[in-house]
Amino acid sequence: MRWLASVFRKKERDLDRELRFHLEEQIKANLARGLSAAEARREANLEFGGLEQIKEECRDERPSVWFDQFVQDLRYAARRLARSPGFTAVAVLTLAVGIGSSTAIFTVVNSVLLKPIPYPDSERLVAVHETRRPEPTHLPIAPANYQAWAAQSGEVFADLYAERTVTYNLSGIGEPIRIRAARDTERFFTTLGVQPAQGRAFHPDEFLPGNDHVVVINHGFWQRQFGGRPDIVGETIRLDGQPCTIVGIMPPDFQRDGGKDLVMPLALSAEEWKNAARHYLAVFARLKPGVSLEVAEARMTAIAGQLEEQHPDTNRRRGAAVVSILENRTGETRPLLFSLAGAVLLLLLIACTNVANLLLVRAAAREREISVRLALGATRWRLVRQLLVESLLLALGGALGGLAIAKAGLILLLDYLPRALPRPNYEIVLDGRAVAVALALAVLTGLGFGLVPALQGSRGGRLGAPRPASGRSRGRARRQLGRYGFVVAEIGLALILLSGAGLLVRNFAQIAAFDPGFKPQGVVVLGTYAPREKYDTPEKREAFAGAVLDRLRARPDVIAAGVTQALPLSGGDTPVEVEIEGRVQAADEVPIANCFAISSDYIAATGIRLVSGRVFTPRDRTGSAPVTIISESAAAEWFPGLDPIGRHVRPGIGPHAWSEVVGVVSNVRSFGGERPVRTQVYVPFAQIPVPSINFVVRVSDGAASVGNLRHEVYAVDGDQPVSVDRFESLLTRSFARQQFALALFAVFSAMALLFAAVGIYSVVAFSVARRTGEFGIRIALGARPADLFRFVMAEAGRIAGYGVLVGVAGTFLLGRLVHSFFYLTPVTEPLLFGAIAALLFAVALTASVIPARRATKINPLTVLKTE
Amino acid sequence: MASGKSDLLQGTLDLLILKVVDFGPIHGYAIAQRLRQMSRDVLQIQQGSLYPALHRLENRKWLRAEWRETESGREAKFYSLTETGRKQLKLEQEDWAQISTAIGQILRATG
Repeated sequence: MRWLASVFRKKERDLDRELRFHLEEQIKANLARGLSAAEARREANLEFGGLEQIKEECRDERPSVWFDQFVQDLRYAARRLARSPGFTAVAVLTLAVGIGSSTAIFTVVNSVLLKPIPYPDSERLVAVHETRRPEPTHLPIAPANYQAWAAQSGEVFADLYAERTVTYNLSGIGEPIRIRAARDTERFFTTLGVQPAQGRAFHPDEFLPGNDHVVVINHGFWQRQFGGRPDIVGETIRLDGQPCTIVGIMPPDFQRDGGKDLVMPLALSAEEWKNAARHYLAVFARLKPGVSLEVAEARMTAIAGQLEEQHPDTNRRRGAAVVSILENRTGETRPLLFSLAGAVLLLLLIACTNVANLLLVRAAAREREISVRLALGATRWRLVRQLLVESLLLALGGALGGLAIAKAGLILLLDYLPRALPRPNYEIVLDGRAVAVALALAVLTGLGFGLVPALQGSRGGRLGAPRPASGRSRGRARRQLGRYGFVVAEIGLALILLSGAGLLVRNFAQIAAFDPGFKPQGVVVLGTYAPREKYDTPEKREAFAGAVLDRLRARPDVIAAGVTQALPLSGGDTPVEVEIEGRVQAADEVPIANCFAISSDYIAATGIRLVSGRVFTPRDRTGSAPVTIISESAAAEWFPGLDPIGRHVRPGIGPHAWSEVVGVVSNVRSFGGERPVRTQVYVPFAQIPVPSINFVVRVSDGAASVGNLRHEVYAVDGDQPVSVDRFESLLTRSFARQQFALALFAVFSAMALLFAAVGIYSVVAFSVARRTGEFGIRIALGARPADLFRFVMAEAGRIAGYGVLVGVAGTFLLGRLVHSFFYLTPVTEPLLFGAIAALLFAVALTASVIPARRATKINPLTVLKTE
Repeated sequence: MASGKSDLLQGTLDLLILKVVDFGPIHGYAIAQRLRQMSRDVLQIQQGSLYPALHRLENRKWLRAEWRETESGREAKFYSLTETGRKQLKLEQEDWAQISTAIGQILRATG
């Protein structure tokens, strides 16, 4: 780079020397003719003409190194921009917002969807799911099926393992807490290609039941729970009371989805391995070299087909699906991220049109200067190039500012919504690729928004007489289109963006406003777990729950307290198969419902509506007749047209006895509001005291600190880890992704609106400034200020109107595109879009008020004087 | 690329420069002097035309330039003709002869 500069300097020096030599010789000749020194010099200079200009022309003849011209253009552009700091600041800021948000979203998309998961050769890792035809939903796998898969998939998989997620109470070292553990089969370490960084992996005999009390902990967990103690390997901890030895620690960058803290061997008994009815395993595999996803899926589907033939009772309609683990983890966020990418590109376009507009206005102001330069011999191409360099410089400034904005924006966003994305937050950072993208955007946008203004601006106007006072000239319509075209486009684009945001807001409002079937406000949840070591009999568990409930109900701030095995909308409920009295069903068509073990007061505490029958009473306990309560949809589905009360069902949980239906309650939505309602079945906690005990407490308004509630648990069992949450925050957490999208869309829309306002303001203001002559004359001829105001506003209104029309057309077209490419139904929301169009129109008009008022203040005398 | 000048004029200047340089290595000032001399003060080439032309010809590889000492001991940029330049000179001389004959015929015509 430096030698280019020195070559350039040398050429300049040579040119200078050559011309000066000529000058000196001329002076010498003049002196020889008898002129005085001063005269000789003067005459020589006169004869020479403009030194700089000659230099320029010589340079024009030698464009061999365009680099020197470029450097020259750069310096010139920098000087011009520095001379109008206001314009430069606005333009750079606009571009920074546009480029910055694009870079930020690109980083998110790249880090979440494109970056491979950090296991060695992770492109070859896949997740294998079961499916149940005809649905495409991914289902977990039964142990017997896994055995068959493992045995027969050798030609497509180099390695595979099965995993089961469990939660335990951890105690012994550090605070007792609830942890999630992954129990994996033997080839876990080899399939993923990772080994513990300290200690060891598992021995083969540790995969037998009884020998499996060993754990390998995650690095992060080691830091958090054990403070990074160096001697932790070999120590014993208790999981649900069971002593287990820590034998290893995973390396620091080993990350799993679902936040599991440690790994244990999956030790199933031989019996359990033959179980084909319970599906709860997740299966992961490594593809053999040369085997593609499609080939693997074909093979697995074939195996599933064979199993279906061999075991028609358990495997009917079971198929298989193979997906890469990247897609497995992040596939759900794809639509969201793509829509964000679309929005941010719109914003970038809007920012560019805004800057193009500003440049056009500026070019019009420089018309005189350009005309002079053209007359003095500059070529149009040269001028275009110079203006383009100016645009590129602005774009580069925008890119630098944009990177700062992107960085700050990402930090803010990830802080505000830490769990919105399925990748760990430390993986979502600005890296070299992001910088490259920002620079590429800078060049593209610089050329993009700079081209038209450069072409326009280099044409120059007519020299001599200033614009005729009448303000009318031929080709007015065409020029107006050129001048206003950008603003119209800008307003149109803003409308499209705002429409998208509006849809999202409405969507989100719908989700947030949906009736979950109960009243989460004012409900506090205490999560506990009664481990089998301490609570080995159902009576003990019942006693524990009963004691805590008594204490809770004794408190004055508690309205109602109940117990449930799992919370609605938490995904922690147990799907069970339910047999229905009087219905004969094939093993594969048994309906599945979410089953909850609840105490009598749970209904009261959560506010679920009792539709008919009764709730559980203390008389429904171990030993008394089994009873259940079913949800409305269950009643409609299983006993259509009949009264379910008094009929019997057999939920596949607990004693497996026929239970009498004693009540029907309103539906509760499961799985975060997006997925369809599954039917619910409730059994009395007292009859099936499960270890997972969540206390649901409805507190009175103004209850001070809910953290105090945990003391009621401690009073009964001091070793019990308790998590305390307001139910509402649990709910909002499940919407983290939608909140993320909404926040971003809101920001983008606000920016787009601002840009549109600035755009139309600058155009109208400039138009007014240009026509001061015309307005002055009008006033002199009797026009009233109000007339002028209306005139200007009418023009602004026309521009805004065209913009809105363009926007509506664009939204419509985009809707069709989305429909044909993504097979989503196009949404037509005339009311919503109409409201948005009206909003945009109003904003545009408001922005034009200031210049319009300025028009009314024109003093005709001052104007006529300057003409 | 100098605007405002007709191509004809520009081409003629190039021809004259090539011819002068053909006599031997020479710097810009001397070229202007020579041209004036040889045309008996009729053609007075301005620096604004001369130097861009010289650079153009050098760019087209018809002239070659090097810095040398003059008799007075100062350094100046001397131009000389390249092989291609020599051929170009011949071509342009022929063209010129043709054009000037044609123009002469038209001007001499009486009706």
